[in-house]
Amino acid sequence: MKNKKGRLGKKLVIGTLSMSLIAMLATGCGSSGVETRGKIAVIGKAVGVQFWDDVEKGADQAGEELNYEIRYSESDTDSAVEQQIKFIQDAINDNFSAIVIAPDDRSQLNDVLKSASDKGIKIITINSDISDVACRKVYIGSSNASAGTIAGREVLSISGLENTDVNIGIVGQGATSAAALDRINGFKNQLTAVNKARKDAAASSGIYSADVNLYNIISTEHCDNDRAKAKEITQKMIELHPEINLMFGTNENSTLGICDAISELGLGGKVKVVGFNSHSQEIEYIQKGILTGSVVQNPYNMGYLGVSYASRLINGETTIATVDTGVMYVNASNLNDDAVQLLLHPGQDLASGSKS
Amino acid sequence: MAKKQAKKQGSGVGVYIFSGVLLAVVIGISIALMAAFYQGNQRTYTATQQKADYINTVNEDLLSVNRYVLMVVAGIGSPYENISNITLTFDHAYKAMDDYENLVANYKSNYKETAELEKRRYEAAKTFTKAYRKKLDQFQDNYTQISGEDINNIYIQEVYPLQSTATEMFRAVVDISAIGSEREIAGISVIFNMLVMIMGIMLLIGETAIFIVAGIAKRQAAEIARREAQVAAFDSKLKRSNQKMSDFALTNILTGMKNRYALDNDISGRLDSDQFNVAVFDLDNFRSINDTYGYEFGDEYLSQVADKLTSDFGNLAEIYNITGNEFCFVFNNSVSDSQAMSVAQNVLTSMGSIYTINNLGVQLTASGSVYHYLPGDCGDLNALLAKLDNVLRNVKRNGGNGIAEVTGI
Repeated sequence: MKNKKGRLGKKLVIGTLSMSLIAMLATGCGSSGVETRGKIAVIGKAVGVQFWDDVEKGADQAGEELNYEIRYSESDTDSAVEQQIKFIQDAINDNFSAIVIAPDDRSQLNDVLKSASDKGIKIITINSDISDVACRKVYIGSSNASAGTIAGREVLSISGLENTDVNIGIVGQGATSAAALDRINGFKNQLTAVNKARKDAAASSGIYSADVNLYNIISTEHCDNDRAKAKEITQKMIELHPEINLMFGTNENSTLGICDAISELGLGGKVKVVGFNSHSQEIEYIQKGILTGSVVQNPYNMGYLGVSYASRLINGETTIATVDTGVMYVNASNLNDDAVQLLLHPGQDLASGSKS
Repeated sequence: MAKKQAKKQGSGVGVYIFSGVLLAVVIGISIALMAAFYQGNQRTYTATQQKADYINTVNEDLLSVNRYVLMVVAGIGSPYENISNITLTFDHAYKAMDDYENLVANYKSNYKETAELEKRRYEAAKTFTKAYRKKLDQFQDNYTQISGEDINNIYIQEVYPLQSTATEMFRAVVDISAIGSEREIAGISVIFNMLVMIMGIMLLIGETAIFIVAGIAKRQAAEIARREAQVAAFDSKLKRSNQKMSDFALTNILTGMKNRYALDNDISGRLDSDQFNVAVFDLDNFRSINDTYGYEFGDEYLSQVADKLTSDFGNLAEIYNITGNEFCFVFNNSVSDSQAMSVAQNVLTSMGSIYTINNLGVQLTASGSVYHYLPGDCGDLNALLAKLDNVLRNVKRNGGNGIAEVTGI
């Protein structure tokens, strides 16, 4: 009897202790495990292009900083609409809180994004927008027309072209590419406005109009986003129009193709080149003096702000409807600026020198 | 058994001391943890609040700068005043950034990872702020030569995005800092939860221990009570048997009178201090009775003599049957020396009367010696009895049936 009681006591103590331990472990695990605040799907386009790698990096780092689970997916090309529709449906099925998407098409994604939005999923478009703007909360990107305008404005201050007519050859990435056409239009409009101002000024001061230096678009062709083709086009264009002293490329491949041709023709510095984007070979061309300057978008910020705006929307905040991530004109003189380095190598800690 | 019991009791005390010390330690640790919890919370909260204040100041300044830039672009107010305000506001923002950096440098976060993320974002924000300022400097240098439409375009396309990006990055810094502090406070909460858990466990263990100890104590108390009862019973038995044994040792088996040992017990303490009368008597030629009628007869004879002496003189003296037929009288203090002598005469008469044993009448004379004892006369009972016996032998040598006094020898 006595013995039995003793054993019961021991059992009671051991039971109590082990229960407490289990409870302690359970609460310990619960509080030390990092719980994310939600899941955000980020959908890019065109696998293997550095621009989208930077978008992914920005999105991932925002997720890391703001404690969201990020699922990044991207279509094989920049026109694979069906693939993007599947990514969106996956996000709906997996109960994601927000979708950040760079749409492959302006209108074909409207329906599926509308159905996601109806389920309370926050939609954010980046880089380019959709036509049904009511179902997305924010558009984050830079204007192609503005980027073209900035390129045109930078042409005005290229040294060596001050006191001469500037004859321009343009290589776009595609005759149907909205981005290419918007950039070319912005570029042209800026230079046309300058030409008009110069003519007006000359007229008002009685200078003979033939003496006014103007910007002339000599030829515009497209390379179907093919670097080799862009090189070929450039070579032929210069052969046909030897007066050309400035080439304008509207994206990465057209710019690289132009530089390839100018380099091969030995015209570096004589024919100036203004282009787009910041491929490592473009940076090398800037350093070699072949590429005069390049308009660089901020894909990292598109990804980063896409996720951080998604976070604000998930938390019930209201936000502005459009965020301009801006572009930067990068040339040999500002290549080593912190801001440019941050643009070229986004998401990295800057050298300690930046503190000063 | 007793040793084991003592050991058990000793370990019981040890347990109480250990429990006491343990309780003190646990409460001490709890208080320390509570203090750490509170201070950690306070520190994190204050630092987060201050950081947010500094960064919000920077962002407000950037918005102010943007407003002055817009005034320049729109041609509102004096451009020089606006530009001067831009410079002043930037200085103010840079001061807040310095304050923020100093705070971060002096604040040791428990969550390095979050602190690194915050730093990375802050550096980006600072870089964009510097780029914004540089762009504005260029803009200030050239704006008089730029046409109105271009000023608008430059502002919208090149200037504003830098400011808005810087502002976004600073906002992110505040967000990361808040998340960091959430994590830190969550980390501190783990301490708090552990504290609650420890206290809960201690409470459970304490309660369990109390139940168990109470059970043990109850059983032990019952056991002790049972043993005490046993001991008490045993003790009273022992006392009774001791009394019996002692009675036995001090009593003559035959006559039921006190014996020589009893006399020794009773009188030894008085030899140095008291004055009293003492006497010894025996029957003359008693041996002849034994020889003639046998020991049983003799015993019966002595028994009757003893009974008679007790009944006749028990109120005057304490009577001892110190050897076979020898009786010692220690007279009460109320009996004087002369009275003692006359009582002694009566004793002789009493002893010398006829006794009927087994329907046979027997009569022997008796002899005695009386000692008027003075304090310090004898060292012990042997010396006393030697004096009395000596005198008694003399009486017998002279024919017996007489009394003599012990005189100063």
